[in-house]
Amino acid sequence: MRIFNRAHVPWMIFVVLATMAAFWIYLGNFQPELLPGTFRLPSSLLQKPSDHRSIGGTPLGLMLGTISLGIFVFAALLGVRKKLPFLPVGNVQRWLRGHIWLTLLTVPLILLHSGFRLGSSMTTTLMVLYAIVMVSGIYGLILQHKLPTMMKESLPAEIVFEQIPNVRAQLCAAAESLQRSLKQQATSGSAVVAVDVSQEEVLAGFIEQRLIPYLRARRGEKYRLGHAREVAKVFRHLKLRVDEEYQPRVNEMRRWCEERRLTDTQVRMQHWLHGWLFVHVPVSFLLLLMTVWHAFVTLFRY
Amino acid sequence: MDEERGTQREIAKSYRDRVQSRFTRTVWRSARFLLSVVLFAGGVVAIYYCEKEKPQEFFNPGPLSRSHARLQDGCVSCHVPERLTSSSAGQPPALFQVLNDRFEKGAPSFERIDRACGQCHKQHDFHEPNVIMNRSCSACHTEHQGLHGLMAVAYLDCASCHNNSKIMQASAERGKPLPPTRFHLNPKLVSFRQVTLQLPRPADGYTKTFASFSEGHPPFQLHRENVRDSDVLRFNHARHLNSSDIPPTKAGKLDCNYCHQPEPNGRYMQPISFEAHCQECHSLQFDVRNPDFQLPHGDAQLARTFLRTLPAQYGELARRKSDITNETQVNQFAAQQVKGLLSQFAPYEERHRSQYDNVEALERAVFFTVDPHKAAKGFDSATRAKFTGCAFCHEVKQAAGASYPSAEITKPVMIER
Repeated sequence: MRIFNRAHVPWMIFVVLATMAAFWIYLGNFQPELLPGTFRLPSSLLQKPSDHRSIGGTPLGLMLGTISLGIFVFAALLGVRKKLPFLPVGNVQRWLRGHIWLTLLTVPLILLHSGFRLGSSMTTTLMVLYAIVMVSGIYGLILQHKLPTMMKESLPAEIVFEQIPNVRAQLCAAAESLQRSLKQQATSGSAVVAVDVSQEEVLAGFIEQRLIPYLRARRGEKYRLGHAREVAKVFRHLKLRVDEEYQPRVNEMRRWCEERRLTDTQVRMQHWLHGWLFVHVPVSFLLLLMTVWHAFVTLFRY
Repeated sequence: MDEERGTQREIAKSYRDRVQSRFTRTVWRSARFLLSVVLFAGGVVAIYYCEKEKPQEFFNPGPLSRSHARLQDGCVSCHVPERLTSSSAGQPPALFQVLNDRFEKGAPSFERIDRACGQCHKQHDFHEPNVIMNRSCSACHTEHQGLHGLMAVAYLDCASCHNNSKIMQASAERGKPLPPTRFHLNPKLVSFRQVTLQLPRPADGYTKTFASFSEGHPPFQLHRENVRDSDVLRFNHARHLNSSDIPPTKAGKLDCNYCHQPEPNGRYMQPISFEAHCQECHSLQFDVRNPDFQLPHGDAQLARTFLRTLPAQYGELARRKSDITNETQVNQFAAQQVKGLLSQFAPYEERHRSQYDNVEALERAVFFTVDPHKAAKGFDSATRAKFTGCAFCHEVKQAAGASYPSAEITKPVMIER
């Protein structure tokens, strides 16, 4: 999702204002000497005097922590929202905007909740998990911002990612079908024109030895046909060996190779585009679980 | 629209017959789901392990104080879990009460921890009886700050009340009707070991405000009322710190810190002792020929016994020397040393010639004479014995009704707090 557009502006303003308000209330309660006189906190925002040494344990610290936990829960619900698109609770784009900006807001909230300290091993573990989630999320956000433009430039016809295996299978099936037809023509017309039959055999042999292995391959870039320059060279030679009537078929085979190469490029870019989710999603759920436990222990056991 | 790319409709049309189910699940997506499940399950197992085994190092934000480090029940000794179910029907769930309490007063609940403190620290009053706002034990005595952290109270904690004029005024008013006997130092510490100085309590108590001990602390009562030191030890602070005839110690020129060193926990000063603070200058070496031969300190009776058994003491010294191998040599050495020792006190002998053939005269010199070596003109300051006589520092009295010389030394009172 691109974040530099008009739809994100209200969110950005909200996060900046909320961060400033959080810092103001924090400083007003815990380090009022750092605030200029005109920014003194009104008494209604001052918490009752507390003997607690850790900021997270004070009523204000607990509030900051609770808001952060609420945002974590909301962020985790994005996956559920995507699975249930029929729910009348706002479209996925809106949810994603909320996911991005509210989780960014947790950075100041968590820092203020912790009082800029790591604390025990338990809270340090939470901080490490949180850092992994946030860094992977921000990295993913940058990729989502940059890669679609690059994909648009390098992929003339983008395919739905999940359909790529189907498209590849259909390319393979078409090549096999052409090969069968060429072989059939080669055997039926061999007695009539010897020269034409050899051209069909050439094409059938090319399909069998070069084209089908490439189209079936898991990673196409390991084959010569997986590189644009090589494709041009190979098919130029192939065209020289066949008559005019077979030129359209050669062109068709070349188009298959191009399509396959584009799917490879798209897969590679898709892996970059979604690979960060491999870290972000599992660690997010672990973070949510550990945070709930942290809240339970702090409130009822500590 | 990009001509090569075509419109969205054209792209869609080219794939119309080649698209399968919309919800095709890729290997990557399945792997991601599996990894999420594995990590979540791992988290559940880790939580179960921590709930069962309660590894202290995982929850503990810092090392416990020395006195709490070996509590029998571990964390639960202080952090008693809350009851989350109501004790009787009709009451609101305890869960909500606990949540309400935490968001109002913070976590952990100091009341709960104070109750746990009270399990061991029974009948413990808070500070002084005139406090107007009872605070938690943990407000000043912070746990999880290391071995001595519990006792080291930060001055800011003191200042939170003692730098608040309203609190101090109210405290002074509250203390006025209370009998003076209610105000005292911690009785456990007073009767346990420490020697304390207790002055009469001022009418308003100790309620003058101050920000810290280093800045703006009101004059101590000791100085304000010019209280005289009750100790009988002849120790002159001004002379020791300012006089030019006091030689420097190994650590340099004498200053306050040479003797007055704080305890490791920083709460009080360490007791002053002769061995640690006086002996470097005020040596017990009274025989110039035998530097290892020193008078015992701390017990007059023991010193007297030592002097009356000098031949035996020199005999022991001889046996420790490697070049003396038989008893004859031991006896000869002891006799020589006793004679030599007596000669060191020759000027004194001249004044008490009639009695100086016995050790009792030496006792008189040791106990009652101030600096008996001072008259030994024959020795320079580098070689003469450094012993200055008990009476140089102590109040020495003749024991009533005892045969002469029988010295009694008044025990010094070293005030520790």
